[in-house]
Amino acid sequence: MAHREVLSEPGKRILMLGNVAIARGALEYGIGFASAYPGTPSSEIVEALSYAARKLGRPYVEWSVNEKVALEAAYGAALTGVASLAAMKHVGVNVAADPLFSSAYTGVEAPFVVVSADDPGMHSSQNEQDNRWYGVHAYIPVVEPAGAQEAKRAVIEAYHISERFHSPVILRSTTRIGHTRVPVETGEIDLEKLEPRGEFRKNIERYTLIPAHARKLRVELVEKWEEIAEWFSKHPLNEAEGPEDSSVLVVGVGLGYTYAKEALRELDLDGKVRLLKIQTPVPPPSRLLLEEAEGRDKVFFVEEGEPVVETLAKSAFYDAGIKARVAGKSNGYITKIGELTLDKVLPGLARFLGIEYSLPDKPKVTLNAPPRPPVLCPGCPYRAVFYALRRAVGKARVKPVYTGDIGCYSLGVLPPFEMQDTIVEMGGSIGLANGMAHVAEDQVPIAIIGDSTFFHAGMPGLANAVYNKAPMLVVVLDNRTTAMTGHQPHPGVGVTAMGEETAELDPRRVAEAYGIEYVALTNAFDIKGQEKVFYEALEYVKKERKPALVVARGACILLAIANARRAGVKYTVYTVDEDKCIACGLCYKAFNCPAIIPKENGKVYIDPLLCTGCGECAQICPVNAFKPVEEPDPEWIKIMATAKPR
Amino acid sequence: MAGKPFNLVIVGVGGQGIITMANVLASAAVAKGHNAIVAETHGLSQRGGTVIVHVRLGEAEAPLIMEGKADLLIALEATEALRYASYLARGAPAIVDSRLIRPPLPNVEMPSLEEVYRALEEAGIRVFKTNAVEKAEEFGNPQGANMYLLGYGLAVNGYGGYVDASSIEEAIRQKVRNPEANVKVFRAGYEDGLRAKQ
Repeated sequence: MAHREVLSEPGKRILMLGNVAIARGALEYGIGFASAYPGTPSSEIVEALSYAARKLGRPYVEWSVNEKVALEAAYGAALTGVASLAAMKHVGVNVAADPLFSSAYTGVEAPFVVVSADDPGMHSSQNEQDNRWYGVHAYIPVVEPAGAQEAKRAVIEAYHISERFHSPVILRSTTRIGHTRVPVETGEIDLEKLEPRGEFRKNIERYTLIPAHARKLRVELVEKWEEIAEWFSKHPLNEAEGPEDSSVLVVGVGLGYTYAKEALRELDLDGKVRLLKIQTPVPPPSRLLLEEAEGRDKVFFVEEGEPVVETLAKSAFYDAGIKARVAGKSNGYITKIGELTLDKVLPGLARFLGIEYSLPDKPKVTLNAPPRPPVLCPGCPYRAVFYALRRAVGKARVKPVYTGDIGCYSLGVLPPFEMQDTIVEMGGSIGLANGMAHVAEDQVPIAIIGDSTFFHAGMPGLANAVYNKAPMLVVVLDNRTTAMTGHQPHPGVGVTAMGEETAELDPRRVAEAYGIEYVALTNAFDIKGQEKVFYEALEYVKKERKPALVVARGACILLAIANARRAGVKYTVYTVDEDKCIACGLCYKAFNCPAIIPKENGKVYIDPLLCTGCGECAQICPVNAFKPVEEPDPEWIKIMATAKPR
Repeated sequence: MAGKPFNLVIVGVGGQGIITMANVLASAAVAKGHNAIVAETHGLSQRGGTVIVHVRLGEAEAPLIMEGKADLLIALEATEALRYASYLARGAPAIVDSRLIRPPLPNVEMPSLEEVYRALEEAGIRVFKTNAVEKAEEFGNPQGANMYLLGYGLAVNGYGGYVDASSIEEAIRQKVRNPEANVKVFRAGYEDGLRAKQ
């Protein structure tokens, strides 16, 4: 997606996604460098910057191979005197944690902001970690906007803070900030300030963290932390409203402020109790919190994620002898589970204040909706891969352990495939298989990993498998894009974030260079062809007790459709010959394309609104009941194999 | 204009154009000088999964609507109305399209359209029943079901007065592919909504 609104002219009020507002803020401040590995809910930040860079010729923008490299690259640019941004989802910061911690010690020459997009509620993630703790842990200040409406201002302030203290700054966003659209007032973008040129100035005592240097920097780091906390206590991002003599203080941290404000409105207390908005949670603005809590009876914290400020403030209150009762997520007044909603905040606040409150009356519907988890799209090449792989496994008579990974193919966990026995983190498929291969008796690990994920974190695990002779089958599902996060390019497709052509790295050649003997490429849409290759590969692993790698290549069907539309090529939908269909159910019980819909009599029809013309169904039907409405265009077949993101 | 915000939940299945619909409505409100907040579903949940988008027009702060507080629910897929009906305030209507999309899981029990409508009505909800895909197809634009429902919703309760037909049409022209075809479908939805309301 282009996110054109990121370059709206100044002085307008434009509806923008929070992530696009973050990108706009970075452009208005003036950065020369941005890098990211895509991950929900962060991806649109660098997508928008990539759009800007293609239009303006600057700043320099890249999709890095993973979050560690993205962070290092932006950190390197900041050491070279160029203001920079690195964006990633919350679990991406785990991958990047090593350089992140060091960046606090060395500090930076030019301002450097790391955007951490947390995902409370786990809409698209494996955990609910609150990355403000990274700030506490690493001595890196954290800025947290009070909703998408404050995102642009918050990122600009984050750069000013980084500039002032020569420290990296974490901008903590969450799903409901990045993926919320609000009107944003646009300011000027100064092209001069986007200049991606600087100069590295040698400073050995600062930039080489040998113990002798790091020990000195540690002293500086701890002293600076106090200074920053003091600075935050008078920072305009934090402000109090409501009567000064209120016996109650409500503290709304980041997005928590919006829920606190509405909860007070709902209880008819808005403007009647003191409300403190905090947008610099780490280090907590202790003096401000102490001044605001002093003399009050009760303090209530509302924050998205963990009770970070609440916990740290409690400790400060204890030291200062403040006796106010404190409540929030640390003691069960608001649940720590899931994302904030008013339904969670209101009852807790009312209970703490001793106010009678019951949640609004709502309709009670007695009929349940059917379960509707996300599924592989109609025409997804991965459905054909899973189908063929399962047949090959049966034929080779191996007991498989399907170690899965993070991407669209994670959806292979669902029936009818259930071919993801583990899903833990990026690269975990090959990683876990490295252990299982040596200890699992009679079982063969089959690591299933996507193309972008292979370059992200699969390669070190694969090198390890060769070195340590771990028998496993690695299947690289190559759909020519980072699909789940919105079709970003990656090192395998020959195009950069700036829209330039570049080398195409091929997982096959990587595997060959590593010394893997059995390496093959298949067409992911060809069920019989790849079944044969998977069978051979499994036989090889059984016999040779060494790793084998198969690349199953076929473009993400959504990408193929987008490419075809631009090329003026049409795909042909499929239909069912009612007389031929024998109602065996194979296509909806074992294959499960969402476009194939069973009727009362067990026969099927194809929903033409959902069919994408992939032709997979025609390959699995035992009686050839599926037929294209017209002969498929050979150009379409070609695009299915070669489509790539722009 | 301070005052009560208008809370709308739009629900359906990933790929039905729900984000576009919300985006058009919110842009129209912003163009008229009002505030708008749209909380969307992106990423994993978009892949044919259940989708809910919260649209708040006027002086709202938080992105998510509280259950029991929505002024209107629009369902682009009928069974999704069952899942999210609890967002509706007492007495608030729902526009529920006749489209049923069977989740592609083996052995899923799918309620019939009649059962869905009956269950919603038994819960005390005033249900407006639409055939948006067929109506949009009449204009040669089956992908325009979302714009049909956007028009229908404007007729049913006016989105709190924060937008009008011309501001929405202008937003369609700016945000949607094939704008003129979609404006036509939008108008058809608006007219059908007016008739149904009488």
